[in-house]
Amino acid sequence: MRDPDRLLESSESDVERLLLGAGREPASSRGRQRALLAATAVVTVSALTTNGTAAATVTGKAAVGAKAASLVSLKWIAVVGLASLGAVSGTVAVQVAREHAFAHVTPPSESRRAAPSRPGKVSSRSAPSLPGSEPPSALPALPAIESAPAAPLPSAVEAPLVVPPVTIVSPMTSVGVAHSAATSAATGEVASLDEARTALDQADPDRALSILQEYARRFPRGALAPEAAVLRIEALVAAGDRPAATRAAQSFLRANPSSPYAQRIESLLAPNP
Amino acid sequence: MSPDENLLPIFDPPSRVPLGPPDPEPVESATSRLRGMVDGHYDAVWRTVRFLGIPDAAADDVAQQVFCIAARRLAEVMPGKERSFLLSTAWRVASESRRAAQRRPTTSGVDVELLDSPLPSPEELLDQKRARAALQTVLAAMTPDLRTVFVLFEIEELTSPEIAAAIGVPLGTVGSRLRRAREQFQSIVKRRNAVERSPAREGGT
Repeated sequence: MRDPDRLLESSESDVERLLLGAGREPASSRGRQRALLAATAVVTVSALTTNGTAAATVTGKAAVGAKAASLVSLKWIAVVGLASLGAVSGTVAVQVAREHAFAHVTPPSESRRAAPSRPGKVSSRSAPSLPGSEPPSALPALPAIESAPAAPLPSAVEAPLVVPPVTIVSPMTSVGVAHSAATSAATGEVASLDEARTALDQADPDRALSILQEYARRFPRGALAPEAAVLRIEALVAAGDRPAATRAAQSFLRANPSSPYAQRIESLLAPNP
Repeated sequence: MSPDENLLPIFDPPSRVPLGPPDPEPVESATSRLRGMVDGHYDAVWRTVRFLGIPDAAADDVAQQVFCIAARRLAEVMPGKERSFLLSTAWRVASESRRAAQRRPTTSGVDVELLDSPLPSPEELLDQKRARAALQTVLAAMTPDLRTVFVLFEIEELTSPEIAAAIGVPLGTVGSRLRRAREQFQSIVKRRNAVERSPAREGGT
């Protein structure tokens, strides 16, 4: 049986069509970058924990404690920073990382209970189900996370970190220091790109460009570098500098041939109708 | 009980990432896929979450959760089915969030006084922001089951089979809910239009 026509097309009422038409407009939201970071952190953490070092994983951070020696590398530190950033935004990435970890280490009945995500809340029930191999020093991290606000934080990016510092079992203080640096770096990246996006939305491409220049200076290998590049191209187009926009686009696409942003960049450069 | 079991047509059976040394390749391709998903569908997830009754202050966090779930289950999401997966997850997370919120005193995402107030005129509705806010209030007055089907079909343009899979009901149920949802939507609009347009009319509709 065929679906009916959509009401937007078939309605005879102006008002209904106007209401429904507005429903489809992209509602501007500032959460996009944070969502990408948090989701990326989940993917990276899960890729690392499936390496069999998962036994002691409570959060991505605890995994560092378990096999710190083999896992310390700049990439891992960045991941820890990203996972923490996700937590800043509402304990989400931490919780999801935890759920993922449980899926590996708990018996099927436990993981079934732990798996459905509970928005904003961390289930205290899941804590006791950790296997005995759990390094005890990782556990104190749990109550601290659970005391994080259950209600979602406001979207202000500069919200203070609610995540406790990394609980490292082995004495590797340099990891701790690098972790804090990575965390605030990730937070800073989101704030910076948010500002650039706002400037663009306010039709101030020059300001966006100077923010993006600052971003490139502060974060030469930033996690959000692709997003910054796309924003820069957009800003250059908005500022009327097509040659520079085209150069930037070409160099981006050369470096990232299979980027999901390829189509978007091409449409940014398309000649105005 | 997890609604996951009902979501079969969109998901492959869950498959764990095989154990082995950490390989940067899957991480990069997964990250790239996630980028595409956020870029293409964040707006739809965000507004669906809003329309399903999550307050503005919470919508970003809920949307972020949806993408984290997607990240965790990326291997199960069939290429080309990202949107259905995301919206289905959005519905599930929003429902759970609302259930949790109802245990605490809270607003339902919209000012209660607005639920019966007159709708803006068609001229005023030409302003997209205003129209979206008005739409939000109309949707807030609908019953949740009907609202869900309405939002997913009329606004996010999923097909009935996709909706059936997303919320775990038979196809026929989607059809009947959609019919009733349209009736409810239209009657709310009509009632609130009448309030504004005819202050002189006695007794209203």
